[in-house]
Amino acid sequence: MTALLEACDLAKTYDTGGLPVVALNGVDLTVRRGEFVAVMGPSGCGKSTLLNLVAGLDRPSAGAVWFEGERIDQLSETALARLRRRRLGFVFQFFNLLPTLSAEANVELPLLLTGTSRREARRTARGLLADLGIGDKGRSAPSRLSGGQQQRVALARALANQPDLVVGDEPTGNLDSGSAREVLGLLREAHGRGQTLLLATHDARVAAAADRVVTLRDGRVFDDRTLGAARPVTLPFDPEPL
Amino acid sequence: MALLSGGRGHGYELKQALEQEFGSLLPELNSGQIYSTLARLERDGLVEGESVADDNRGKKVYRLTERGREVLRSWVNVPVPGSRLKDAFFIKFVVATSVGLADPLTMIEQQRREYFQSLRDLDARLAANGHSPTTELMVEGAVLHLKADLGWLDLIEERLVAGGSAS
Amino acid sequence: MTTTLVRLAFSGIRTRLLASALTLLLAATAAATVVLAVEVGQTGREPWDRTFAAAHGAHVLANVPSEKAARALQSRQGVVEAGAPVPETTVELRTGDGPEPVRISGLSGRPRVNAPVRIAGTATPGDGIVLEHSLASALGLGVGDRLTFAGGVRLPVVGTAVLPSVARYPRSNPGVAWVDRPTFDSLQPLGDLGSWTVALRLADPAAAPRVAGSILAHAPPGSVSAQTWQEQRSVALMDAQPLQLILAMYAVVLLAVVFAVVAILVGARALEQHRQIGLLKAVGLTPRQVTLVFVIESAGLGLVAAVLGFAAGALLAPLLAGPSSETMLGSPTVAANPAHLVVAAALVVLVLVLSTWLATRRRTRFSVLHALESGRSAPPSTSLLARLVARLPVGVPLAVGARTLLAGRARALLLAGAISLTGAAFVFALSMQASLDAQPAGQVSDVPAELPVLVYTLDGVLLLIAIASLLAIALLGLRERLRDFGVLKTVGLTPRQVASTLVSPYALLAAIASVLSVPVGVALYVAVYRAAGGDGDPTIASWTWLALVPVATVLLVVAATSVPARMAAHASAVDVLRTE
Repeated sequence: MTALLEACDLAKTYDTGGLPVVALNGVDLTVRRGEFVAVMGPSGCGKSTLLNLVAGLDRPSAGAVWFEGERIDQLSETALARLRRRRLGFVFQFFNLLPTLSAEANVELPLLLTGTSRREARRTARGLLADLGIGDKGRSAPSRLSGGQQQRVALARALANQPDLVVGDEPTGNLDSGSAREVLGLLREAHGRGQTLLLATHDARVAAAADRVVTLRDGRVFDDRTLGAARPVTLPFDPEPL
Repeated sequence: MALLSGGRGHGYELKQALEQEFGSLLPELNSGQIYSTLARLERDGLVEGESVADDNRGKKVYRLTERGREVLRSWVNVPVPGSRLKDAFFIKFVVATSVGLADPLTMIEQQRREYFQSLRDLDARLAANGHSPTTELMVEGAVLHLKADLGWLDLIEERLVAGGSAS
Repeated sequence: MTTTLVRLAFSGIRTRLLASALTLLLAATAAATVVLAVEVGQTGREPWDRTFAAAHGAHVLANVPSEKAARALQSRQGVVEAGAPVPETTVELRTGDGPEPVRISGLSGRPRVNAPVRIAGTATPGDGIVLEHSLASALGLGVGDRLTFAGGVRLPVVGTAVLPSVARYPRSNPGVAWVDRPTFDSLQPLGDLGSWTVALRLADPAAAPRVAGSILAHAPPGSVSAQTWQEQRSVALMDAQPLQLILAMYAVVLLAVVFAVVAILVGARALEQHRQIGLLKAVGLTPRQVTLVFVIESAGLGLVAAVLGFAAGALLAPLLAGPSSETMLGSPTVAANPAHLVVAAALVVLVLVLSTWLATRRRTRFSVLHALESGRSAPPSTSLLARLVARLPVGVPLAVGARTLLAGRARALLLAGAISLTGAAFVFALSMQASLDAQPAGQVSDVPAELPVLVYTLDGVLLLIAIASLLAIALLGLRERLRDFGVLKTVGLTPRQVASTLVSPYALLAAIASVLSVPVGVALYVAVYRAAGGDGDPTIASWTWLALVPVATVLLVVAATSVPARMAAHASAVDVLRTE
């Protein structure tokens, strides 16, 4: 079975005002369908860069990226846009919802782009928001929602077109611990339903939920570990056992 | 002693109360342990026992002494010491690496893997059906400690790599 | 405290150099137009005085029915010098375009008072005819041409001259010419019996109105007319009136556009600098003081603009007034009345201050958080307009872009207003052109030739200003939404669609605003026409021409906003999203 996403020897150098910065220095990455892969590493290690490259948001300086067997790093902006529309969903650290659209409208956007009728899009969007626990916030403006709620809207938007891959760059990075737990739970649920996830995170808990944890250091893959199934936990005491 | 703060009671009553309140916290108790503990407390002057006249088995009724109350009070009110400088892994790490028994980076990585797995285990436990709010707090506490420990591992590794000595 | 505020204001100007420069340019243009409007009427003053002196002009010029009455006036009290009575009559001149009435005076030698001042050829008619200079220009006649009059009399043009009591042809109708007495007697009068004029010079020129009044009082009403030298001058200067009217109208339009554009620019800046505003407030400035900083900035720019505009206007006014000084000796001078600088400064600074105050008032009052929100005012779902747009079956880019534009309602309205006014000015010009074209061929128009040129020039300037402002505003909008563009790209909008989210709402706005500009422009034209003394309904431009205005406006707006939009579309999503 071909991998969903395959990146080979990716390298990226940024030219910021004369001083070139090497963000990635030969990274291989494979993501299979249904996998949940977490990318970890200290800040500046290239996590975000890697994600941007495999998601077609940026072009590599060297190396190649295949998405479902199709080479994407040489595609035009327009072709990439079409790819993102249908097959990729994004969740960012700072939510990145369009502030002038309501929560519902934000979620509808990818659906409208792929030609779904307005009514159908509205219905799907409402359903998604309800699934994520914020069905009553559809008409609100993003500025009126809490961080956790906004991230859920962002997640709904990412899932709207049932993408092959959801990419997240520090999805819990800007949330308090309670909201972070909730969002992680939702991500896990999506994974449980078969959604392929690729997340960059510095939150160990998020990484622990993944099937595989790839650690980057200085622009290279340092480690690629697969965690085993959960072992049973005995608690020292259980005050009110059910 | 906490149980006695509510009033006085027989040893047998205490055993029952203990099992009821903190059942699974403790292993199976037998009456002997209760009485020997009570005797020790009496010897230290924290409780005092009174024989009950009409009890032909010689069982005493116990209650807290003034000193006992003070000791109890300080146990409740004095905070648990915060600094936990004793860490099993760190001791192992320092010992093993100074003697050359193991490669420091490998040790750290193995421990890290264990912590990650523990995180996974804990989250699975939470996700499993039914738990009380207290259990949740207990698990969250463990998670936070694990995250802190992982951060500590990163720091140790960083210093190691930077050339500083681990010992 | 004041010095601190002033210093803050100047640093503000320096940091937003481009916007400040644009504001300065706009305000200076408006100021120049205001100055032109008031100065152009005054630039003829000196030349007229010169003409009056050269002609030894009449303090009172009386027109009486008989020679006897004329001689009687010569010995009136206060009269220190009098010219010989001069007979006048109207004759018909045959020109290529048809008969043209001309009022001729029969001179017996050079008049002592109110003598024609030579411009070309000779001022002494001799056997020929001396034409008044503006008449000659209008009919295209010069020295040496032979004229034919009704009755067959043919006369050569021996010269052109001007007279302080005669205003420019064709505003002053019929035109004027001079012949000597014998020629006068040989010409067939056209209809009326003619009259006699006598030119009087007084011991006390200031007493002219009184003397004229008493002349009128002592004669049967309607038979006599007496014109003072003050009246002569104001009639001569009134020639600039159509120009002044047009300039005044454009000044108002320009000031309105300045108001709108400055409000947008300052408002956007206040929004962008909300963090600085919060900082200022944390340091201890009250919201009112923060607003004051912005106001001082604008006032400062306004003052500089007023001075620049005054210089430009004062220098240009003589050029504008040039043609209308055909009846005077020499060219119009720079009037540069300092009072006009005050007027211009007052108007410009007032508009700028008001605009700035309104734009920043809200934004400085709130906390940092609210300042962020007030930039995106109402929740999108409850805005009626937004819901309306949501219902329209328009493409995704327009739907997204329109919501963003509508979120800044004040800005959208101001921009629409500015576009409307600019379009209206063009409708005005087109209607004016249509009116001119509608006049029967051959008839010399009483619309001075320089008027259309002035209108087209002003329209050109207004257009340049509008385009510059639009670009600036679009760039502002771009900078504010750069992050949104990145988000749109990640969601899957193609670069062209991203560009369209910026261009299409502006295009829609321009379409609506420019359609409105048609009735506004027509109304303006009718108002100015009536104010200029025209009667009846003026001809306005045809529908085909009028329809051109909205089309051209939309195309221009699309072209102007495409430039920044293209930049937005090709900004890498990564650069935009990797932030804060």
